Amino acid sequence: MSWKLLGLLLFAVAATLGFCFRDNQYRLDSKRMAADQEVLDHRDSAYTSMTWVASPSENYLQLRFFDKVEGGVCLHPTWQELVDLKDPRLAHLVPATRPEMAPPAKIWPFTWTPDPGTVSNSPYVRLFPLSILMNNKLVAAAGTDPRQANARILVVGLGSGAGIAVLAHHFPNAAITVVDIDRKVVEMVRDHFPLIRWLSEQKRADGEPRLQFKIGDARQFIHFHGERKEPSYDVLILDAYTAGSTIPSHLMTREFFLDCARVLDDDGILLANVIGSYGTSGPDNTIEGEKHRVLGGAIRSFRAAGLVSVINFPVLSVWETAGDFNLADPRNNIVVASRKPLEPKGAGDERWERLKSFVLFPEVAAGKNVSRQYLLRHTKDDNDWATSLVDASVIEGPDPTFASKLTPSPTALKSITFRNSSDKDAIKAARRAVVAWAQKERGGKMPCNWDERETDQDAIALREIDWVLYARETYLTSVVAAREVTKHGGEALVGDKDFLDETKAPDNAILHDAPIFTDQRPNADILNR
Amino acid sequence: MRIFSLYLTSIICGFCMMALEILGGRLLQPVFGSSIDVWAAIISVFILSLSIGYVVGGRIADKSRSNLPLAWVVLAAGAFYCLMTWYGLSFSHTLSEPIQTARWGVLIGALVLFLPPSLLLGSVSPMLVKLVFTNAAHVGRTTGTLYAVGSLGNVLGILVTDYVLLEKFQLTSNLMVMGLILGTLGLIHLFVRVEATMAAPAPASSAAPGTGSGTAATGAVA
Repeated sequence: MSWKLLGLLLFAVAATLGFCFRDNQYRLDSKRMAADQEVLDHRDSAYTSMTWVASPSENYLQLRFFDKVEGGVCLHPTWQELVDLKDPRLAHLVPATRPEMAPPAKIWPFTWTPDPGTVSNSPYVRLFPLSILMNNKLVAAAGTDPRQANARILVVGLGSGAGIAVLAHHFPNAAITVVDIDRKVVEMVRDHFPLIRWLSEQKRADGEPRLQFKIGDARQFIHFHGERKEPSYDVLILDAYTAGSTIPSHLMTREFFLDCARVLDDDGILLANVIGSYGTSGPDNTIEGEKHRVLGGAIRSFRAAGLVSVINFPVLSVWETAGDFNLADPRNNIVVASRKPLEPKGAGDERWERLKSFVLFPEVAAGKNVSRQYLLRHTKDDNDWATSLVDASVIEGPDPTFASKLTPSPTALKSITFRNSSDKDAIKAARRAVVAWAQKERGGKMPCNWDERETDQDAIALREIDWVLYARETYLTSVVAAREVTKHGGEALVGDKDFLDETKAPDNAILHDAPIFTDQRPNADILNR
Repeated sequence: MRIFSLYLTSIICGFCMMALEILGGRLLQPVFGSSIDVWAAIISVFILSLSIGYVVGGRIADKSRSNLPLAWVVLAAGAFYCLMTWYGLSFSHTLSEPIQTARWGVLIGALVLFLPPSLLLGSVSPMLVKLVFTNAAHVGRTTGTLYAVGSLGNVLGILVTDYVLLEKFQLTSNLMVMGLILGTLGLIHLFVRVEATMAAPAPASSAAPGTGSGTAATGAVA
């Protein structure tokens, strides 16, 4: 009997331990992240686990899937701030009545709820407008202003809705259809992103919804498009990902792209977000190098499906320039493909001048939505960001002149600047300020790695980002890079002949061992890690 | 009543085991992504632990004449489910970067997380065979029905978890509730004695080697 009681006791202990120490579904406190992150809502679905996370100091609201940041939107300028600009160019974003929103989760600490506008904080979604600007037929029909294009757009994969907001900002007459497999993602975005909810209830002058959601697998939706007798699309945007930067393998095959080509207008543009690299890293093509096969494979598969003209717009980091970036690094690539030629016809090509002169968020002034944050670094360990980022006011509150003790260190962009210092006293003072702040404002809960007992961080940095200027600059960098088609065109990347051969790409290509992904061999799932 | 309660045990264990297979993806995906590698690792670990569980469970069943070992096994499985709400996700996160990025890394994660509980639940089937078994003439029918019932539990575990549990409840709540159900089941078996009704087991030397259920059956015939 005593053994049985021991069994009961042990199980009770296990159950109590499990209950008391049960894990959160999301993780907030880690280095490289803002220290003041708060959760707006968390939900689980059969497909994913998602969390809306906001940081006032870094000015974002992000939808994370399995803790991975899949894009986000700036908290400021808010939708209301855009409306208050009273700019006639933004008349299409002015609501007659604001939509009723779902309440935030109980864990949300603030009395305000986010009302994000359209400025995105992730660089790749800001390249979505390229798809309309590159469509010559659409732009010609729109007359003098390409922003007035009557674009029919199909987007695969909703994410946070940041890309939709960018499109809606710049193209008042766009009719956007979003296909997403997960009803709960759509609900999550509609419940907490007021602008997106409002858009999905609006109609164009001709009665077309400005934004509509279709729940289902994109492969099926696109395959059966013909049977629904709907008109074709001018633009198709592929941005479906599962956890871990992986494209669902059935959305990365030649057969799928054949279906995509079928729903596209003759002049239609396909735009795909492909996380991949230009080359192999390491001297003997080690495993990290597999990423280049995803990018190369995507480009070859597009061409094999008849979308023969391909140009890649690489999304560069703040340290890189259009002419000089690390080919081995995995990055977002915006791959644009079409049946009709996309290459510039010499200098002053009309289409490419249009891309270059396009200004993102032109109604919003630069210099107003700036985030300033401090972090500590390991300079020995590849300049690793060793702590979470705290708002500048935490450190400059006690010492308003703190920033002047740091040395400016320029990046490739004007919109992002760093200031650094290795002065031990400065680091110590900063730590003290953060500890005092944590004790006063956070009940003693220290942000990641700012604790005074930690000593191996040997430098402090101040990062300043002007989000609107940042958007414009990164857009332009990608366009300038892609303009060099001898480096970023489909032929240059995967070779100019034999792109129907499934087994091998020609040797003269940069991405020379890129496979064609087919339903028989849909390798993207395995390789895209 | 006796048979019914044993079938119910089989269904519950089958349900929880496959539910863990689906939920298990959630413990690995935040770190390892959701590629085919993750599912290959999870499925292979579960089948592996079933195979070990059958062997171990069969041996234990031969040595016992009551439901006592079954009780301990189910109770232990329940404890693992409860504790996994604590260490499951954290374990995946604490694996070093080379393991997290290597293709085989997810196999290690799945082995450590899922081998113990699923091995315990896998050993339940042969133990139940011994308890359900009453008549040598019906050995095929008895084991067949028991396996069918257990597999039905598997199917329910997969579908209900996919369609309902994942959407309605948090990962940790799902694990916790299943752990409590398994624990309660184990405690019932611990305090309510069920005797095997077959003849005394033959000496181990006469038992044919093979799966647990086969060993139990031949032992009884002898």
